[in-house]
Amino acid sequence: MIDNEAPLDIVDTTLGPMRKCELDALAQRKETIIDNPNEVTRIIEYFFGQNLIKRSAHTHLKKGLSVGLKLG
Amino acid sequence: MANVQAFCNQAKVDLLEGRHAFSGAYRTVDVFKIALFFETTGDIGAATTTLDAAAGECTGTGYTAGGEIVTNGSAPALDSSTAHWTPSANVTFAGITINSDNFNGALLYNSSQGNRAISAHTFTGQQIVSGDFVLTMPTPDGTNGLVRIA
Repeated sequence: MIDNEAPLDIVDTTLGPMRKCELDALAQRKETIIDNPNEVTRIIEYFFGQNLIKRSAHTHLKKGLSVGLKLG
Repeated sequence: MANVQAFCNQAKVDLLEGRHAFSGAYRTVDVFKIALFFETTGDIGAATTTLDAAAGECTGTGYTAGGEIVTNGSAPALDSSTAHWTPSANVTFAGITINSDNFNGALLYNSSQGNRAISAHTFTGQQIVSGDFVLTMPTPDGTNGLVRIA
């Protein structure tokens, strides 16, 4: 999933696998929320210095699509 | 080129021809998948006929061409006068890196029936780096469900 790992879980980064607790301790975490009529997207980024080492996103589609059947 | 949110025109014909089985009520249920498309080169929309005919599918580390199977645990249902179907779980693209371009499109298609396209969905362009992309489905009802016939 996204950002719900336990502290000792192994997570991937561009620096290689590390424990979630190490990632939280060493990297700067940034969270961005995009909310519009179509979606809610939550983006989680981790930076080590200036370098992006992990970026995940969770997009919730608010609405699907409809096709109509017409008579006459 | 651009990804445009739309119910695919060919899917309307396919529905009338009985090509899509969203449940096993009449025949063996089909397998449906979702593939991701780049913002710059993707062209999914109303005119998309199949996954294979669509340009700009994502490539990247950990991303499997053709995307991921959607969990189909809920049969189509009726909400007032609208029939609807929605995948019953999130679609997760786990442990991927897609960062050569933003992606902003997802194509729902029937992998059991020649990869025939059903609907194109768009969202804010984004990139994933050594992470997960999770797509959560809308509320499964006649107003919001992913695929609806009104």
